[in-house]
Amino acid sequence: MDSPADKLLAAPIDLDPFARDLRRLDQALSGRVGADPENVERGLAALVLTVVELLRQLMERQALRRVEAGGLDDETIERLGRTLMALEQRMDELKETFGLSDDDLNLDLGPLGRLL
Amino acid sequence: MIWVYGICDRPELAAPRRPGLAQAPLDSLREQALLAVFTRHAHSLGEPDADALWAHERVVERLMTDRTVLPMRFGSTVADEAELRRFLVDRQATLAAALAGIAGRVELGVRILAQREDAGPVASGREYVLSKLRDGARADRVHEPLAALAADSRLQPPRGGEEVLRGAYLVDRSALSRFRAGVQRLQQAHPDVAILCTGPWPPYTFASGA
Amino acid sequence: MTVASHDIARRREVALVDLLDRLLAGGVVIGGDITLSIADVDLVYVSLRALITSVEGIR
Repeated sequence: MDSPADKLLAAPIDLDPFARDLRRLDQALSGRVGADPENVERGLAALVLTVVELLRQLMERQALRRVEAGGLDDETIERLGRTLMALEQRMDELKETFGLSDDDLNLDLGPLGRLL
Repeated sequence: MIWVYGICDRPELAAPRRPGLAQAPLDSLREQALLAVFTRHAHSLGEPDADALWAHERVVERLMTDRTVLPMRFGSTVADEAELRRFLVDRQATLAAALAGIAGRVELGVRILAQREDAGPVASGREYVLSKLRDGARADRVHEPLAALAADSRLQPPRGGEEVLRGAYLVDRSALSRFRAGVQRLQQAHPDVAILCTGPWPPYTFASGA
Repeated sequence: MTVASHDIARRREVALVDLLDRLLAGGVVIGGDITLSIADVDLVYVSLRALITSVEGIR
């Protein structure tokens, strides 16, 4: 097998931004999760928030597509943008409240595949 | 406890003679057209660290050198061989189909970061929308040509911040250098983004439906 | 041509990020899962990736 460093097939000179994720993923690996009952609760919170995040992303994608299609006046676009911003912010707050990262929200639903 | 590394085709081939996690020897279990490769452990393996991750990966990559392998998610364990066999029997059809879909192919990862002109918070709703549309366009400009060089691709929603694309591409081994050249060409054509391509990886992303 | 050791460490880190993404969220899943069901009807199959820290899973 190639050494880990050889896995970079193409990369820019500055790799720092691409390595930033590591601390976050490190947490996903280490003992952040406690005893079993906590796991189930976290699992439930993650499940609920994943569904919420999925809907938020779908709505945002739809809204962006609508803007791209044209025909919306500036005021409407501004309002859409502000609402989407607020939704994104709210989602970040929720994730922080439950101590969940983006990785935690990407749940595997077995036959349904990954949710996000 | 049994730690599973992958499900392979060519079940007539024995497990490679090399250690897996915790230096345990590799063993295998055959069920018709499938072969599961695993190690046995008397105790829990404790908290996983980077070395354990690479150890799992090394086994999967070694298997990839002479057969097609559906990689197992890290941490895939069962109590005993009976349970493993039941799994293979229950999922025989989907596993075989998944193996056929990845035969002769590898996974390449692509991450794209946009260099943001304005580092500050977005000033208005309109700016937010425009910025997202720009990101989407940037991502498409790179994703479309790369997808054309791959047998399959999966995009994740970008992780926010500077990231505009996070994708996995299933590429024929024979097309690997063409794909890599494609990435380099696209990077030159689009200096406003930073493109990272890693691999070749076993096809984890394309195995997770199985 | 020598590559600075910092560069190699960085490259290893970047590769590790992509590996983690795959090992923890990809691959075939077996063991350590929860099925959420109501009235004995299996509704959602949840793979709690965080549980890999306890290798023996939920017993």
